[in-house]
Amino acid sequence: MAETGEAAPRPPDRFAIAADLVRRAQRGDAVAMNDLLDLLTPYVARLCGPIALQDSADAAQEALLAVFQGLRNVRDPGALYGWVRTTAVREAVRVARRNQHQIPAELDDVPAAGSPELAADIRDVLGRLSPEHRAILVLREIEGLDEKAAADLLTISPGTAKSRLSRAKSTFRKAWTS
Amino acid sequence: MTAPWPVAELDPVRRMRVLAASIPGVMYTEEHLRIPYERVWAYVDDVETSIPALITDIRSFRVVGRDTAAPDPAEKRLTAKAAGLLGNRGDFEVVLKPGWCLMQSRLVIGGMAATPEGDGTRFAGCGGLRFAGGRLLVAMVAATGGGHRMIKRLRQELDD
Repeated sequence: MAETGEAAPRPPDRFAIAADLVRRAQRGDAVAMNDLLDLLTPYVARLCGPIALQDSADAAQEALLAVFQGLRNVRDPGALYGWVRTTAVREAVRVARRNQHQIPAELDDVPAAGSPELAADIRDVLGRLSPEHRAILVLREIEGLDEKAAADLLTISPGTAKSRLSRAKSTFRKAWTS
Repeated sequence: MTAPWPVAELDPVRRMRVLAASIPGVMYTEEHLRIPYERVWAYVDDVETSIPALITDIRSFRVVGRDTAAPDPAEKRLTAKAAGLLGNRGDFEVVLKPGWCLMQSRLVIGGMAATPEGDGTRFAGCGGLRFAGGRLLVAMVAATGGGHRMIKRLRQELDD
């Protein structure tokens, strides 16, 4: 299990609850697995939604499958959320790439400020980015990771992470100020 | 960036796929029913009637307790006593909410899930045994169409 970066602030009781559920699930307790699904699904759904967009249900399912099938190997339940985050983001990028419905526009080609297309919601703007650009945005804006932690999680260089983030944010700024 | 980010939706059948695939030796079946979801789930939700009708090894399934402290108001946490055809008995924990039913005793795991699909319903069922040798028995039941028989009985009960 790879833990990368600083964990986003969360109530400490959630970690304790998750750790207890993991131990019970590892012993084959299906009700504990049910409760762990209840606990982790909203987190995975928040990560997969902006990255996989129309394929987000597939991505969340694949991510949770990977997490639950790997539960038996979890030695440190305290690191669960970091592992779930890594798994969810990577699965979301993989599923979005696999099912890519359109070739993302080059960011420089994104319609200019004031375009009616950019008056649409955040989903439309996200759809103009590649899954990899969406992933870095999610890690920075939703998870609050620093660039190095996000780069480690995505197994890219910090320079690439910085460049992707800068271009993705620029796209958003244009959309939001149009 | 203050706009709401898109969030993935995981329906109960997708949840059941995850759960069933993560418990070793559990049999899983999924089919489309040409019956509206509301009708399917209204039937399944009455577990004292639906469980003995759908799982023929169970003669009776009686709810004997309810945990009122469930965090989700749509969710019921029940305790039930099951009696088998051979006189065997078991105490089950039941997690019941719209589209989702999970049951667990010391020896048995079972689950059903449903979600609307077009004018009908996507329905999933799973089952497993929690003792040594259970996987082999479940594999034999699965190989002989055990899961599909349960869904066939559901269709018959609802006159599809």
